[in-house]
Amino acid sequence: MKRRDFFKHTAPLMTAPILLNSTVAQAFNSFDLFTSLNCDTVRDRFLVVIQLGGGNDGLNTIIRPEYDSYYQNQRPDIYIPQAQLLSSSNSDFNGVKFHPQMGKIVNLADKSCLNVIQSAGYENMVRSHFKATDTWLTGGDSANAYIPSRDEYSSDISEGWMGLYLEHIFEGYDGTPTPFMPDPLGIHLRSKSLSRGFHTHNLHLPATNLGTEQNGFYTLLSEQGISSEFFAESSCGDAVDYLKLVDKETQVYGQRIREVFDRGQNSSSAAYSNHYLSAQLRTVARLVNGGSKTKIFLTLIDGFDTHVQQQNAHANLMTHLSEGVHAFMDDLDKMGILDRCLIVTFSEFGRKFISNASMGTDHGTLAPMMVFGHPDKINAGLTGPKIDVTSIDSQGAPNITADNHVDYRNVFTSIINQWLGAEQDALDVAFSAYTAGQTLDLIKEGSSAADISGCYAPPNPVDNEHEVNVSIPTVNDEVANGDYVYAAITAGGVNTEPLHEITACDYVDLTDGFWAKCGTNVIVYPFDCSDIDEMNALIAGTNNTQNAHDEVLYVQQQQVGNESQVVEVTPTFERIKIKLFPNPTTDVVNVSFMVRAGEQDIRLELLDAKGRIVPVRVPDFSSQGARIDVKLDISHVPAGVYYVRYVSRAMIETFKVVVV
Amino acid sequence: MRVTTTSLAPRSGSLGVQLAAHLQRRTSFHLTKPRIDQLAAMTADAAVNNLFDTAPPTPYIPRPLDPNTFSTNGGEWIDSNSQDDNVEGVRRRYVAGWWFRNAIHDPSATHKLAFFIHTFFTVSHHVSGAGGHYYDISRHFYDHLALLNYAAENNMNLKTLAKKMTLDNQMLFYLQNRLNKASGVNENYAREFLELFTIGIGEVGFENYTEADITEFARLLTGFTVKSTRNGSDIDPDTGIFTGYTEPALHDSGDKTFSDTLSANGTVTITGRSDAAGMIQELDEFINMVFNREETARNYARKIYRFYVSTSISDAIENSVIDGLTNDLIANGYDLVATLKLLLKSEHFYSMCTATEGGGNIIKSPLELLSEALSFFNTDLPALSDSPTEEELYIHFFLYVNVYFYNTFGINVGIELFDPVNVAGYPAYYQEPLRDKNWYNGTTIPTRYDIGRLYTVVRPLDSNGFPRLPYTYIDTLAYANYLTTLGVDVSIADEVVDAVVNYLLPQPLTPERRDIIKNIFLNNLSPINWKFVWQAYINDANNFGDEARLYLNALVVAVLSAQEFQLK
Repeated sequence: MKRRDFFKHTAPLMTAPILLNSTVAQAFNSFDLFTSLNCDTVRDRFLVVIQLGGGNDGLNTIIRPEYDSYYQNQRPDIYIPQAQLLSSSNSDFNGVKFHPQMGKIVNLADKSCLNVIQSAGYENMVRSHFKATDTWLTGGDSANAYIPSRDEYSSDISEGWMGLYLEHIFEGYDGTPTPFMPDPLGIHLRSKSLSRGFHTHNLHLPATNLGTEQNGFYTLLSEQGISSEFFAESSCGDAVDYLKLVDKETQVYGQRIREVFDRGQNSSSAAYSNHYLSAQLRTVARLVNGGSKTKIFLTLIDGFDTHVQQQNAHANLMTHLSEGVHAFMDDLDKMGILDRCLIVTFSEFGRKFISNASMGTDHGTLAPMMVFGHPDKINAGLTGPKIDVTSIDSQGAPNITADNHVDYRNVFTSIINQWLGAEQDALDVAFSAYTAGQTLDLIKEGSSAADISGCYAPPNPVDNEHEVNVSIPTVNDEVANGDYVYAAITAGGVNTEPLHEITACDYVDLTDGFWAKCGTNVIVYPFDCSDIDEMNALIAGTNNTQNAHDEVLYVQQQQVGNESQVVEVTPTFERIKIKLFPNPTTDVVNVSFMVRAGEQDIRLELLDAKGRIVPVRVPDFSSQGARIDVKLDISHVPAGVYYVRYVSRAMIETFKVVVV
Repeated sequence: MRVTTTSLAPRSGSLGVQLAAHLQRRTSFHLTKPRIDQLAAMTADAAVNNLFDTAPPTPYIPRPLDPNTFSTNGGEWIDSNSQDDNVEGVRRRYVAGWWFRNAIHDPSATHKLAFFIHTFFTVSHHVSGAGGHYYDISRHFYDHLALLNYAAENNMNLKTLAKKMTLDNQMLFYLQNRLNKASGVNENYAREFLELFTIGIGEVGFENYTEADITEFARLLTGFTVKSTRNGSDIDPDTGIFTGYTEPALHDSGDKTFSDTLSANGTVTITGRSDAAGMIQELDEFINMVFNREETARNYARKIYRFYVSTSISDAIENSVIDGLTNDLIANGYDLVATLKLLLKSEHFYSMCTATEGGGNIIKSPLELLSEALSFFNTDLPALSDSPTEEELYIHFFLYVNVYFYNTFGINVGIELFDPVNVAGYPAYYQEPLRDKNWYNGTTIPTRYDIGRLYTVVRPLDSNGFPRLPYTYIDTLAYANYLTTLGVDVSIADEVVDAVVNYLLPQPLTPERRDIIKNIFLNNLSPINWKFVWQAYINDANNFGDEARLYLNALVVAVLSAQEFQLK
């Protein structure tokens, strides 16, 4: 079978119902034999933003050697001699040199893992830390723009582009995990409060902040006996509503993040330093490894406000930045998931070219941004014009003209467009103040999510018929020759080697939400396994012990081999059959089913169309025996599409019911 | 339903418990039942005057303790020249911890007003990035807090304060103006003075001043610097506090020109001077120019409103209350306390909520959670014996300040007192749109809710005879006895519950909610059972004290971990 045919063949499978399917059904739906681009690969991507707080001296970060004499004259105290600067062996970086402490980043440049936007900023750049930081985080500039949420013109946008983007993509997000997004949409590392980049006007912020890693993350409120029963309604402002929301979200996400963190691990040879940027990136890698589906991680390294004695301070910062990024990318690479990650740096402004009398530099304007990623995914090299230090303003900072810089919003919009798959509507929402956007070719052709449409949003629940045939995957004869005999251990392929050899009924499973890198980690169900049923129960059981409440059990299967070897799966196993009646209904729905042998801990839940649990009283049916008949009172539920969810040790199944 | 009023007219009639508690909570770190009862009988006018006329008590420990007392150097350190790089960081924490302890004991408006000033005239005790060590930083920091308290206690005019802040040694270090000299301008302080301390950057940004104005102001500030040691510094004759000085040799004596954007009065040139008095004159002229702008008064009016009343300002509030406060500041020449009194006495201050009078619309800072919990239950931080030895003072303070207040509580709730994340201060006081909500998130709330449980456990001394974290505890049995002296019949469960929830929580509880707390207190038994428990204790304290304490602890933990306590 040719590759193209294969995709034709599998395409329908990818749109098959995946709402709360059992593990095996999910695996069957979404395997991906090749590293080709499809919606699942786009949805599995994430973005790491590194904020260089305080205003990085970009002019001493990426240096144009042709201006050497100007550097000597204008910033003598912080001038770095040419001989000390570093160069990349990669010809894509001809024309620039790097700060002497950026060896690890030069190493990434050598490997084509880096793109430098040489001169990033916006017209009339603000030189106040706070205003400028807000500007970068809200997608604004110095001009007034129309703010849809306030119906007015202002330069103070107040809503962060990351928050707006995430909220738009995950429409109706209200701080409750859904099957499609069990995690917070964004995570702000090492912060006691949430970055403005994630703020929106909704009380439900689409992201969460994480403090220190002490004892893992979060103490669960339920463990402290906090109750909001009869907590008064708010009569003054929204403070009470906010408390209730945060309490709830902390509870649900606290549990989830703690699980993901505990389950994940960094690769055994990860070489992070003790610096706090490295610590944040280490945590990101571990969360992703543990199954986090969070889309944007915001990290921070600060101290760039080098008004005084810049030389040593800036050198240390460059060391920490370089080491942190390098260790992080190395860690992800060893896990086999570097191709899911893109990293972008920014700082609120650069610094003046002319140094001050304190052997430092004051607030300036343009500076480079750096984008890091897998060499197969990003276009390495230099983007945009260089910073012309011969053209400086009366304050000593690089002049900004209409065409001597790349607007920073082009970088962010290109990334969320080409990497995360945001389409025009999402860009319009997240960057409402910016209409002159231009696309930068940061992502390689063939890997850009802009090449396919409809991928950015989470998959919609598809109407699920009452009885669905599902699916333990078995491999067909074509691969019964034993080519697929390797598998990696759980938790996302941390251990890339030695690969685990499959024998007999041996099996491995991947962590929830994890995609192994094609070609390294493999999960293959042995085709000759005689007791597939038991295996299924074991896998489901594994999830069950983690958390019976886990909304989604994504185990995604990837298989390795040369392209001519194709795996197909055949449904061989029937799901439980449940009768729901009447359907559609108004106030009551009857649920009937036969308990299958060996089934334990069965419970029923009601979910809404977004997969959120709807409170409903379920009568105790544990003593009914083999046949269960339950009447659910749903008279309090608004009209709409709902799902009755059957949960047991062995499986999770959902069935649609329409309330009219 | 009540209608909130935007009137700044004085509220008439006596306050009653609910509103007196609201006033005390918003203006002080100290909250007790007798204090609230005292204000409850007064009118808003009398109560507010009382808050500002009352002098803070003399600190129990007159000076911040010396981290060296327990080692070899010993003795007083603030006025000495003792230098020890190893204790510098601890010294600064001692100063902050000492200040916070005094704040908890201060029933007046002084300490909270000082803290309010700190939230916008931001200084960190952590002076970094300057390179090298400065042994006197901890002393400068002490002087800085002295200036904050002096300004609060003596109703210092904001213009005067802006000038004194410019010459404050700690500020000269923190924003590096000490390095700003004619031979090379460092504009760090000049920028933040305009943006954060006075007129503000404006909504769009730079409608109040230009980048060139910053550079010109920085030139004007050249030569405002520090002496090499604190003991060699000048003393401000007004305040008696050590201060920086003006060094003509480092000053740019050329004229400085400011834009119409800043002056709102055409291009303004301030004549350059070359002597010390002339430098001060330049600064005075500049400050007058900035304070002549209505926008400066308006910026302060908003800050006052957000700190004391509500963090959100609607258009209606802007056009009524903020206008009123702005005009008042201009009319009285930036008398901060006078304008604050106008606000705190107003009908508006007491009408934030539609269902009830009083507050409940702001999420408390972690400092307030701690200070209200401890002061309300007469709890010292750290616990000290009646006549503590120097060793006890040292050890207990070290543990409390360093181990608990900074390294345990502070890092978990997101505040390191007097060490904000940046010069804009703590995000809760400036970061839109969340503002006070910044305090409250998944990372901070476990610790915020844990205060009651943490403080009601009696922990034995450790093997060295030292107390254990958090180095004090709420003695609920002693508190119940104290309530008896206030006339509360402690044997009646309802009286105990009312004496706590009506004073400690910002809003009346729903009956169901009150029942939940009461039943936790009663261990779901009848009030009669509690009466017997209490009477048994009264008759035989030795044998029945522990049981009574269990009940009282349950009540205190329930109230301190109720969501209502998170609000003010």
